[in-house]
Amino acid sequence: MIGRGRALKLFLTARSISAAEALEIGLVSSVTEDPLAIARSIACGSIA
Amino acid sequence: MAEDSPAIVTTFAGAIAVIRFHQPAQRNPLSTSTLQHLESTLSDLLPRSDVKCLIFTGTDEVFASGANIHELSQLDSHSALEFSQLGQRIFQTIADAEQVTIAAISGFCMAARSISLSPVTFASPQRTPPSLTPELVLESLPAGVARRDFRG
Repeated sequence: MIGRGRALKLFLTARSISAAEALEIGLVSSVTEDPLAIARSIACGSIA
Repeated sequence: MAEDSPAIVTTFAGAIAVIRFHQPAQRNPLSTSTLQHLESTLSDLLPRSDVKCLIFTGTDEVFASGANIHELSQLDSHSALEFSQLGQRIFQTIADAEQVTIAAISGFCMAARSISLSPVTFASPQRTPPSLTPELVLESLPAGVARRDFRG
């Protein structure tokens, strides 16, 4: 999902990344103040 | 929080099940007992037609800290293989779920595989940045798991 190269880089360097970087490389879909509230909102929309 | 508190707590809001890792004092390790609890929870929820969405989240400032390293150090080759297979089986089950799956991440996150198997993921910018365990990212690749499009 993030590409083998990026995965290998993370694996081999064992470094932490920020939420912003996770968003940039596509590991998360969105960065928001209240993830659970947004998740609930999306979930409600998906089953409406 | 007491050490014997449930590792996972599931709550419902209509057709939405919120699966919460619930041992923040230990930083929500994905120990064998937690994974077994998660597998049992999924076995209960996934066949249910009234459950349309699964949200995975953590407690306080912790999403999950990945595998329990202390526990791993005690495993022999056979039990280590069993542990690995248990994890692979669970995360593949999540990947294959008919329900919409969402990871809502606040704070520490060292369980990137669980994120990678959720088609929609959200992280909090103001709290401790997610810390993504790279080997788990790598583990997800041989399984052929890719982020699916959100089914809205």
